[in-house]
Amino acid sequence: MVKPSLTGVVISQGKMAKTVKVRIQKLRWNSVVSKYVVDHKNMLVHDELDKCREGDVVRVQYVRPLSARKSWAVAEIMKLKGTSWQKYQEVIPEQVREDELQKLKQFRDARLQREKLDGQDPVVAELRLLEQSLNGAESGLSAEKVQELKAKYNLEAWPPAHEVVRLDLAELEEQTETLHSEIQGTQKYTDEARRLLAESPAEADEIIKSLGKDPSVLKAGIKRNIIAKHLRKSA
Amino acid sequence: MAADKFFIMSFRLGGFVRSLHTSVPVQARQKYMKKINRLHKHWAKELFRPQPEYVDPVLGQAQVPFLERVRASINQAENQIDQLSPEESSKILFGAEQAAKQRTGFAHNEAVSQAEARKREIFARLVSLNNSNQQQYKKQAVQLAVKEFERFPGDTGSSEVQAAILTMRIQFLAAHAKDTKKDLQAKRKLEHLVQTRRNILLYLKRTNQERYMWTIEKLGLSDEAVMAEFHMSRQYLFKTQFYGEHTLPLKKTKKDTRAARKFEQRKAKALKYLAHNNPDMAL
Repeated sequence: MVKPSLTGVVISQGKMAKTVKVRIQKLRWNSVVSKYVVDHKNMLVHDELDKCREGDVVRVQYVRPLSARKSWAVAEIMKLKGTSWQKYQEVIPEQVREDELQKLKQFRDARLQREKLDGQDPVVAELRLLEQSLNGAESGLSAEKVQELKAKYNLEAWPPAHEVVRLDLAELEEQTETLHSEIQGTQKYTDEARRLLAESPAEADEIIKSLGKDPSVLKAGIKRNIIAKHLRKSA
Repeated sequence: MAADKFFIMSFRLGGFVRSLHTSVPVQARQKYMKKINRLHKHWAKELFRPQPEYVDPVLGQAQVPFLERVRASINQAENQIDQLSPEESSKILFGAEQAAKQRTGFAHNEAVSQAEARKREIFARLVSLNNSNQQQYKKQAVQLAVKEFERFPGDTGSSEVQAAILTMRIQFLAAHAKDTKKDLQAKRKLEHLVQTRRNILLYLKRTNQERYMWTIEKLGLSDEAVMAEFHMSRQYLFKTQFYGEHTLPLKKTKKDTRAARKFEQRKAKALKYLAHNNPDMAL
């Protein structure tokens, strides 16, 4: 005979040896309000291995009367939600503590750097000193350091003849130029398509037919776009 | 005479009958005492059970590393308002100085340098965070919190980030509410923020336990502080001494007195039980 089995949540553990309290939830018809209402029943369940934790979802099975109030046993743990919760409570505070120590160290380093350079960017601080020493003013840099910086920024005299530091602005300018040339490129094919449509419509229709489309149905602008795309692809 | 005899006889008979049944009340009393002892043992256990530390549901624990770091970060003297930082500004100002020198053909470097140095000073004063307002401080704190809690760069909507932002706003508003006792709108707003954060954290607990644990640990809250119902009540204000010495005292209700009396009675019985059965524990 198949033994009856139920699914429930562990709501109390560790208070009795090898025993947990499991809540079995079910829907019960309430004839007064004519609808199902959530109802539950708590039962004491045998847990031989003491594996369950509060919050675990378990399947329990009837065995035989084991004690005055206990005749069911845990058959399997279906979701280890309680077990993982307990694990997180032990592990995560330690993780956060270590993480915080590391972050504090980073903050302290940044703070020292800022104090050392008087709030300047490292590159700016170096260039400022290099400018002073190249112009013959007192900078407090050793000759070796000056040589090193000169090599780093590829400089011989001040003002520099070339771009010393790559600026964000320069990069943006480049991007704009590339976009512009791309747009110019497409414009060329559109113009060509327009010219083709005006001067030799028969040729244009043939191109559109070769692409598997009916030129008599299409509007002029769409024809132009199709031909421009075709020209760009074939180019 | 006959009456006497009857009396004696009945007395003897009565004694005999009673002696047959003496065990019943004794057993009942033993059973009752056993039950009472078990109860007192339970109370004694409860008395010595370690209670979890109370965590303020508004401000959290004291000396939270993350919050302390944010506080130190926004209170640096060189800080600048909005998205500016002294490092970024120094780049622009250096460029401006070089451009000014270029305009004069690098002929009057010394004079230009002095003029630009003065401009730098003025600029630093204008954009200094110290010379701005609390709003700017809060903005920076929020930015730091977002960076700390984001799941990926640019993430501003995940539950952790929302909870962290609300924590920053709560910290600032609580400081204000403590200073201005009569600003009742601030008090009301503070309660609203705390409830919002609580709802967000409850959602996070339901969906991602690990991340929830990490977030509350980082923000200095505890699971009890999040799960417990919260009201900005006089009980709460009194318990945390919200306004310091200006906090209103709490009137003891009959319910409180009864509860305290009950606790004292239970404590006395528990200690008596321990003195009898486990003298070491009572001490």
